[in-house]
Formats: sequence, structure tokens, C-alpha cells
Amino acid sequence: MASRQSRLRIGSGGVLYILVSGVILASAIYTQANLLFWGFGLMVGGLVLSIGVAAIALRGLEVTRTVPTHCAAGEPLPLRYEIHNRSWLPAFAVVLREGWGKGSRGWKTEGPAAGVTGAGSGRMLGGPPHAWALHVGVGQTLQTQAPCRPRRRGRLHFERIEASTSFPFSVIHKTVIFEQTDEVLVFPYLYRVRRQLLSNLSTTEGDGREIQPKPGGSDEFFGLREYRPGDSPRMIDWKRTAKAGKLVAREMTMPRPPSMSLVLDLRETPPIGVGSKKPTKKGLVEAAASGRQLEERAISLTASMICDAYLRGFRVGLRVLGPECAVYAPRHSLIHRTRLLEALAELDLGRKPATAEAVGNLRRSDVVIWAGRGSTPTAPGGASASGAGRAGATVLGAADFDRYVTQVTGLADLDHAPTRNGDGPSAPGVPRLNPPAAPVESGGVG
Amino acid sequence: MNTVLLFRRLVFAQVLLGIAASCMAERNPGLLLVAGAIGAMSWYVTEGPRGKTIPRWLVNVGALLAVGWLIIELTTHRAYVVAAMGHFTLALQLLMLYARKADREYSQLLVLSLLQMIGASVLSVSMIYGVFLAAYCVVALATVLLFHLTSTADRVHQANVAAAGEGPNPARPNTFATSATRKQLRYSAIGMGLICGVIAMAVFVVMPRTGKSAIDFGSTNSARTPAQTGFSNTVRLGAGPIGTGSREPMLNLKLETFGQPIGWEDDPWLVRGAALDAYNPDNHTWFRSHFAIASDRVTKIDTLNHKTETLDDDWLLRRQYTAEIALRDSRQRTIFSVVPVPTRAGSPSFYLTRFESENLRDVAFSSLDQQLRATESIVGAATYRVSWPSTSRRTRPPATANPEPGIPPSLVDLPETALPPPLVPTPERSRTRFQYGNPLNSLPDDQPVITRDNYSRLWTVEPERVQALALRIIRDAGLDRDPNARHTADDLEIAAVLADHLRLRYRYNLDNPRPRGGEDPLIAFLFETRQGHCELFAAGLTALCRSIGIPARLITGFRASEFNAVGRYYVVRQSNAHAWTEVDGGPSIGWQTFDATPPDRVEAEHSPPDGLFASVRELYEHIEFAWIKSVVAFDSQTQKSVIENVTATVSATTRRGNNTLRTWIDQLKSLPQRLRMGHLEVIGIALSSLGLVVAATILIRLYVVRRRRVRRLQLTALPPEQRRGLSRRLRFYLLMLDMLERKGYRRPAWQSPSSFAQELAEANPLRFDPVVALTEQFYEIRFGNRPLDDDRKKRIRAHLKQLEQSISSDSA
Repeated sequence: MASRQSRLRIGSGGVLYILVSGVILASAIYTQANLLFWGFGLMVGGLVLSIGVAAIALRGLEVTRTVPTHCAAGEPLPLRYEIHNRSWLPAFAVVLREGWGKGSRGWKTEGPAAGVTGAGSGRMLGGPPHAWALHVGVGQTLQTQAPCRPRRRGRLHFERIEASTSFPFSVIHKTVIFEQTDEVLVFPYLYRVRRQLLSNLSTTEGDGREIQPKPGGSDEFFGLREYRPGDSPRMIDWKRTAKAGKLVAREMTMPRPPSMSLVLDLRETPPIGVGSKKPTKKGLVEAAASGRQLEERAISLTASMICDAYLRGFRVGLRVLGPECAVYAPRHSLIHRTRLLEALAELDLGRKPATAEAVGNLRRSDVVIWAGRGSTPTAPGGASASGAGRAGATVLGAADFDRYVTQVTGLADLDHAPTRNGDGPSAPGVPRLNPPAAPVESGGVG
Repeated sequence: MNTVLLFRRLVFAQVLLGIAASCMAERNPGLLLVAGAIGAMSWYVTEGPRGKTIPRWLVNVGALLAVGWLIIELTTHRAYVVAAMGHFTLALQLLMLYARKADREYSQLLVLSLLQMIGASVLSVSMIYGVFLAAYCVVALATVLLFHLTSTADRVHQANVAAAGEGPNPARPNTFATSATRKQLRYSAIGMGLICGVIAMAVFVVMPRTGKSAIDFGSTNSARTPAQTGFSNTVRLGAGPIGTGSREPMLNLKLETFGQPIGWEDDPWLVRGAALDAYNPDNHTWFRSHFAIASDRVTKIDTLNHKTETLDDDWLLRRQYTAEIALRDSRQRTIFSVVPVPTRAGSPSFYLTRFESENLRDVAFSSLDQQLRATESIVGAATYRVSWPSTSRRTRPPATANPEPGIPPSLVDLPETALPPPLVPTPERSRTRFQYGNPLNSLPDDQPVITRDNYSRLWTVEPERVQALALRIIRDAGLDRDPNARHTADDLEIAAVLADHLRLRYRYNLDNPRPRGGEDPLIAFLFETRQGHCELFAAGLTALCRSIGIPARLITGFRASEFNAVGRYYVVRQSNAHAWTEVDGGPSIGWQTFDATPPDRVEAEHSPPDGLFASVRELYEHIEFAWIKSVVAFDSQTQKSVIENVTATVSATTRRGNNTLRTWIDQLKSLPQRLRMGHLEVIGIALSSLGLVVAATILIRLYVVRRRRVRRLQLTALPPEQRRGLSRRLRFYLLMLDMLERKGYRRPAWQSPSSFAQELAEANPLRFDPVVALTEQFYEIRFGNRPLDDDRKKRIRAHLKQLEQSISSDSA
């Protein structure tokens, strides 16, 4: 919390209040009815009281915001506020509102609701999030939460918190501004990938070869070797030891997890209108989508596959063609998954190199995702090339989005789902207490 | 407590209260019954187990019908604008009670209710309405506060819903108020109500008053309310039996002389209203003649009073009576004055010397019949003061010197300027120029026109028969009179004899038997029935006097006999309406009052009911009078007096305070001398006193802290010894709670220490492990009767230190 400013203004309730007071005064003067003079006196009392209360309201209030480091688009982002009242007066009906830019309308022109350029397109938020606290007692600290649901991926900046109240009669609106900057990285929309798709892709390791087991695990017998200090005594093969005259230990196999290299091809933006004309799943595919939307879908599909692959124990690598992005070798870890999602979240589609980047060598194990139409991987190595220069690789097209995914999901859901390795760690920064997002039947993509 | 539900209940209560107050102000119990029942039923219909609301289109149709009804009411009863508007707002409120309501509808409902109360405040002066209004204000304050809370929550919710777009709607803000919130909200509301009340009082006092309403709002009664018996500007005889009239207070009369209130139960006064000098035999009605009306001179009150000030100072220094008349609620132009109840020989009539009113600017005054009338209807409550000297026949001031105003001279003493101009005897002229009030109140064409010569002397209904009766009566008493003589020296005595005759030989009766077909009721009273009410007695005496040439006129007003000992004033009710006679005694004598009605019967009729509730009623009426006088009829004169009093009190208090302070300082300076001590000794005593004060403060502080500790540890139910010991031993637990509270972890009152510790430990076991340990210690000491030995103290200290570190390190 860097600084705070306050301002007073008359709200619409205040105008109504003054209007009613004027009516009572006019009636009193016109009729000379003393009871109406009383009534007018009460209204004046209310007005004076409102001004007085507004002058001292929110004076000792401190508001701090707590946000996670990242979340997924379309997923509830819990904006938590801690309100502490150091004043000697309780505060009632405190409204907390996020503010951007200049003035109360700044969020429309300068805030994330303005659809600023950068990662993604369109508005990131439908409006400034609001939180409400009925009562903050003297010396009390309480927490409240504002519902917020980012609409697209990218970096979500928070500038300031506007705490306001118009207690008691909605006449004077007192606002105190707390400057506090925060940033949340919003991952792309995440979907459940169809089980069949991952199964088909998982068998496309190398050139059709089986996955080779390697020693170091605890699965099946792999071989014998000399006992090393630190080996479990249970692994000592006593028969062989007796024969060899020295300690011989058994080695067990460790199956190598399947690997998947995702190549996100965003070099060219497909023409507007490419897309499925016939929605096959309610809410998942719109009747027509623009090229930029298809690119966003491609990014979402990539992110969804990364998350799903992580759950299934795949090692996932990523290479992005088009916008500037690092190349990630296939690995399987939570940190790795987070890094990949961060990279996808920050892809700037507006900054593509003027000359198209060469595809380079694509292996048959690579999965190319692009904004056009794709192929259906049905058999090991049976994928067909649909795009130029992608010979031999599996190609998934964002235009066929609904063929690959089933429903929108949240990062929290994915985090809580058990992985193949049996663990279900949380992503760093995402609070565990956050309730899982309810399944969404409808929702825009991109 | 859910604030939304409470708000809905309060709105419902406020609207119903407004409707009840409005119906009460309009004095319409039928409407109250119907509207109250419909309104009350709306709660069950809309909020009940099968809560259903009426569709919007039906509300709109109902609103259109209400507009139509408003137009009809305004067209048919133009004078009842406020009542019509009240009905309109009432109908709209009832409709909205049954409609589906969001914040907008609730705000409309509240504004409508407020408008209705504005109208009702114009209509009513009753104290019960004041109580309703106060209750309404309290409920309205609570409603507005809760409306603010709920509407803010709704606005926040709507903003979040708009921001959510197509996604699932976010949860509504939690509007559930905890007990602490309720308590603070209650205290805040009380504080705000008090502040608003004080400011309202100040505004009420200082707001300038013109005292003159710009519009005539019509009666406070409903348009359909039947006319009440009581005072009237005309008297119609032969209307059959009459009731005793309403016991509703009409006005309060406070009499003063030399600044001291006077009056008691057995000292009735007559409140003089209208002077009726003409009788229409066709409709048997007494009314004020066109001749008298034409003698009215519209003048400003200041001018009127200025003229009286020119009277001889000697007159003004004499014993002077002041009557403060507080009209409760009226719509009339008659200004009442006061006359002592005549003894057998009659009483001097009304001598106006001064008239003061904040509600009136102009008055019409007639020297002919001493009639003071307002040029506009006096609407609602009003107060005015009338002053007159106590005089007798011998000490009456010279009429000719100051013929106007106030001196009730005989007609022959009046100058020409005080009389109406001569009439041109054309029927058209007489019909148009002096047309006033009810067109029936004029003499038939076959009757002679009233002029100066025959004013109050004209009697045309069987004059010979009536004259014969009058002459027989006075001759029986040894008197005689020439009917053609204008004035004789015995006129007042003759009038007294006639009044005595009626008083003794005729019977007072409210049955008022109807005369036979075509017969004049007055003739029937005098010659046949010989019984009737006060109007017949007064009319009979007037007729008898006129028949033998004595000028007489009928006066209507009230007989004030019910004295309120609490407030030392007379309460005059509608049922106290009375009629009597004024007789012109001739030059230099003027008009004298005679009451021919048997006083014992009238007294019995007018006496207030005794019983258990009489004193309660008396007290209530006094409070209501105070209410009307200080609030409803608060005028600029009272305002001036209040402001002067406040200013004087403030300045006196300031002056007194300064003097007291100065005295204290002087006493302090002279203290060493007075105590015969040196400065050091005085300083020593002062320091000792200061030390005592500090010690007392510390002791009080310790007591308060201990009490608070006992309450927080919930040990209040234990015996004092046990309570004291435990509160000392369990102090560490409060320290722990304070420590946690500073970091935002507050234990709700409903949560047990163990569950609180468990909850914290589940959230962060490492951080809150000391809390669990300290809670265990708490239970061992509190319920296990374990002593707080050194070992335990050491452990507790360690846990507290650990907790402090874990909390601070985490926050860092």
C-alpha cells in the first residue's frame, strides 16, 4: 500500500435525498404546517449527519489486496482484501473496487476491461471487480473477496483499490484510494482433452518403437550388478552373492514415461471465417471464429494438452513457431508445466517476425498445433500432414477444436486431479482453499 | 440476522404505519380498516410460504385506475386536494406491496410513503398523529439505514454479475449481520436519530414562519364525514331532536389577568362566536343580516390595535383580561371572544382592546355587532389572543370619543361611518350586493329590509301574540314598556325579567319536539311545548324583547365550563356549543348579555363525565394541548420567545460560568492565606490530592479491566472468589487471543477455545502449535483446577514467546 487519497461527492441517492427535502420544505412553506417543518428539520439533520460522517468515514481504514501469482482464463480469480479499521468509528457498507487509469471510468479506457493490446485480445475483465463488507468494527481486521474471472490470457495488472461508503443515507459518497500494484499471470483457457486423443498420441513415441525400460526403478527385474553402498539390503541377490563371493544386487526396471513434443505453429493467421459451422458440443465451438480467435484456440489447446499430459505422466516439450518464445525440452514436472503455461500466457500474437520462420526438422513424434484444420490421429504414426512443411508429424487444428476437447476446466481442477505418478500437487501461488470451479457449459474461446 | 429480511419487514411496517397515520389524520376509520387489511394481507401473499406477486401489467393497470380515481376525486371534491392525493398514494402503495420488488420498487415505495406522511402532516394536528409520526420517523430511520446496506450489497452484486458476463453468476455479498454488527448498527442508529432530532429541533425553531397558508386545503375531515353538531354561524330552529354533540375538543381557552391565569371549575365563561340579528321565518333560521355584514371593515390587525392604543391610558391600566384561544382544528372564519357568564342582571358585553394573531394579517371588524371575522378560513391549529378591559356599566369608556374599535356602543351611539351605506331598495341590489354565504340566509321578499332604524328590533312572526306574552310577563313583574319607544331606562331590567321567566317557567330539553305542520318552532316553544334547547331559549328571549321594541340579537358560541386544572385552562368541546341573547341597553349603556337557558340543566349537560379515567383524560388533553401549542401551532411569536429565552439562558450561563471561574481562581489564589499555610504546604496538599486522584483512577481502571477480563473469559456465572482467582490465572489465554487478534485471527464468541485452536492448527500446524498447547493449559486450569505453578508458568511463557515469533516471522 503506497499511498491513499480521498474524495467526496454527492451520489444519485444524495440527489434524491435533496429532492425529497426540497419537496418537504416547499410543502412546509406553502402550507405552514409545523409538522412539515419538523420533517424538514429531520432531513436537514440527516444531511448534516451525512456530511459529518463522510468527513470522518474510512479515515483509519487500511486495505490490502492479496492475489495469486497466476490463474487460468475463465477460471475464478480470488481477489482477497484485508480490511483493518484503525479508526474509533465503525465502518458500514464498505465497497471495495479495483480502479485503473484516471477517474472512475478509467477501467473502461485504460484498464484491463479496455481490451488493451498485448497478450490475447479483447477485454480481460467485464468490469472492475467489487467487494463488499457489511461492517468493519473498531480495531477489527476482516477479509473479504471480490469475484473476478479473467476473460483472456495475459498479464492482469492491478493499480489501486477504491474503498468507498455512502453510509448512512447514501447522500455523500466518500472514496478513499489505496495505491497498490499487483500482477497476475492469466494462463490460456484450459479444457479437458479427449481421452482418445492422448491415448493415440502416447503411442507415437519415436518411429513406432516400444518404450524402452531403463534401470533404477522398482518395477521388474532388469539385471544384476555389484552392490553399491546405499543399495537396499533387500535388493541383494544372495544366491549370486554366494556364488560370486561378493555382494551382488538386483537392478529393477524403471519404465520411461512417454514423451510428447508440442509444436505450436502460429506463423500464419488463418483467414476469417475458418471454423466449424456446426457446433458439435454446446458452447465449445462458435459458429464462426476469426483468425485471431482460432490462434487463441490453438494456444488453449496447447495449454490443455500440456496440463492433461502432465496429469498422465507424459514428458512434454514445447516449441512455438511465430511469436518469440523459448524452446522447452520434454520434461515432466510441475514447475516445467507452469513454465510452459507461463510461456503460452505471455505469447504476443501481435509481435510476429516479418519473415516466416522455418519449421525445421519435425519428427514423427512431434504434435503440431495450428490455427487451421488438422488431422485425426487414429493409429500409431498414421497422422497425415495437413500443413506445409509438417510432413510426418501429427497435426491438430484449432478449427477442429471440439474434436479434441470436451469441457472447460480450471487450473485448480487439474491441480487436484491425481497424476499418473500418484501425486496431485498444487500449482504454486494458487491457494488450496480455492473451491474448484464449476464446470462451464458455455464459454467463449479467446 | 439477515439484513435483507429485516429490511423487507421494516418496509412493510413503515408502509402500514404510514397508511394508518394517514387514515387517522383523515379521520376515516373505514379506510383504515380496508387499507390496513389489504396491506397486512400482502405480507402473507407475497412473503408467505407460497409467496406470489402480481404481474407488472396488473400493477400498471391498477396505477392507471388510481390516476383515474384521483381525477374523479379532484373533480368532485375540489376542496379536498390533500385527501385525494393521500388516497392516490395509498392506492399506489397497496399495489406495490403486492408487486415484485427490487431496490427501485422499494425506493419508490419509501418515497410514496413519505409523500403520504407529508399530506397527513398537513391534515392532522392530533397528538396521536404526532406519536404515529414519531414512530414512523424511528422506523423510517431504521429502514433507510438497512435499505442503504442492502442496496449497496445489491449494487455490488449487479456490478459483479455484469463483469462476469456469460459465466456463472458470482455469489451475492453476505448480508448476514453478526451480533456485534447488530449492536454497533443499533448504537449508530440511536446516535444518528438523536443528532437528527437535535438538528431538527433547531431547524424547527429558527425556520421563519409566515403564519399564512397559501392554499385552503379543505377540511381535515373526509368529504363524506357527516356534519357535526356544535357551533354554527346560523341557527336553524325546529330541526328535531339534537344530540349532545361530539366531545372532541374544539378549542382551549386560557384566561389571564395581570399576567396570572384565572379560572376554575365553577366559573364558566361564554365564548362569543356569531351575532345573529335576522330571522327568516320561511326556513326558521337565524342568521347575520346583510346590514351587519355590510358594516364589516376589513383592516389590518396592526391598525386595529393601533386604534385601541389611542384609548385613554387610564382604561388600559385598568383590570384587563387576556384570553388566549387555541383552536385545535377548524375551518372557519369566526374569531371567538370571551364574555363572563351573565348573572341575573346581565353582563357587560365584549369590549375588544387588542387582538394578536400570527396566523392572520387582515380581519373584518364590525362595530355594529362587535363581530371579528377572519378574511380567510383559519385552517388547522391556530392561536390568537384577545384582550379587553374589565368594565361595568358605569365605567364604560366614552363611546363617542373612540367609536371604533371595541367599544360596544348602542346603535344610536355609533357614528355614520361605522354603519353600512344606505341601501337602494331594489331587489336586484339587495340580492347581489350583500349576498353572503348560504343564499338561504336572506330575508324573504315580503320581509322589510333591515336598516339602521329596525336593526335588531324586527319581529314579524305573530308579533301581536308574542308582544302580548312579553307585556304580560313584564306587567306581572310590575314593569311596562311602550313597544314603539326606542329605548327606555328599564330595558335591561325588562330583559332580565323576561329571561328569568323563561329560565324558571320553561324546561330545558334536547328532545326538541318538532312543531306541527306549518307552525313556527319558536312560536311553538313560547306558547305550546315550553321546552327546548338553548337556541330556542335564546331565540325566545330575543323575540320577546324585539316584540316590545327592545333591540336584541341571538349570539352563538360556547359555554366554557370544563376547567383543566393541570394546564389551568378551559377545554371547550363541540358539545359545549351554546346560544344566548344580547340586549341593547340604550345610549351610553350598550349591549348586555342575557342567558335565558336554565343554567343548572346546561351545566349538567355540559359537565364532563366523572370516573376513573377522568383524570387520565384530563392529563392526556393537557399533553395534547401542549403538543398543539408548542408544535402544531408554533408561530413566529412563540419562535421569537423561544429564541430570546435560549439566547438569554446561554448568555446567563456563560456569564455565570465566567464569574464562577473567576471566583474559583480568586479563591485558589487566596487559599494559602485562608488556610494560613505557606505555598509549599499548599503544593504538598495539591500533590497529595493529585496522587489520590491518580490512585483512584488506577483502582477504577483495575476494576474495569478485571470485569472485562471476567466477561471475556465467561466466568461471570462463578462465585466471586473462584472468579477472581481464575481470571488472574487465565490471563495468559487472553494475552494469546489479543496476540492473534492483532494478526486478524479473531475467535468468535460462539466458538469454543478447543475448536478455535483446532481450526488454526489445521490451517497451519507449525505456526499455531503454541495455540494448541496454550489452549490445553487453559482447559487444565479452568476445568481441571490445576494450579499455576512455576513450571506451568514457564511453559506458558515459552509458548507465548513461540507464538509471537511464529506470527511475526510469518507476517514478515
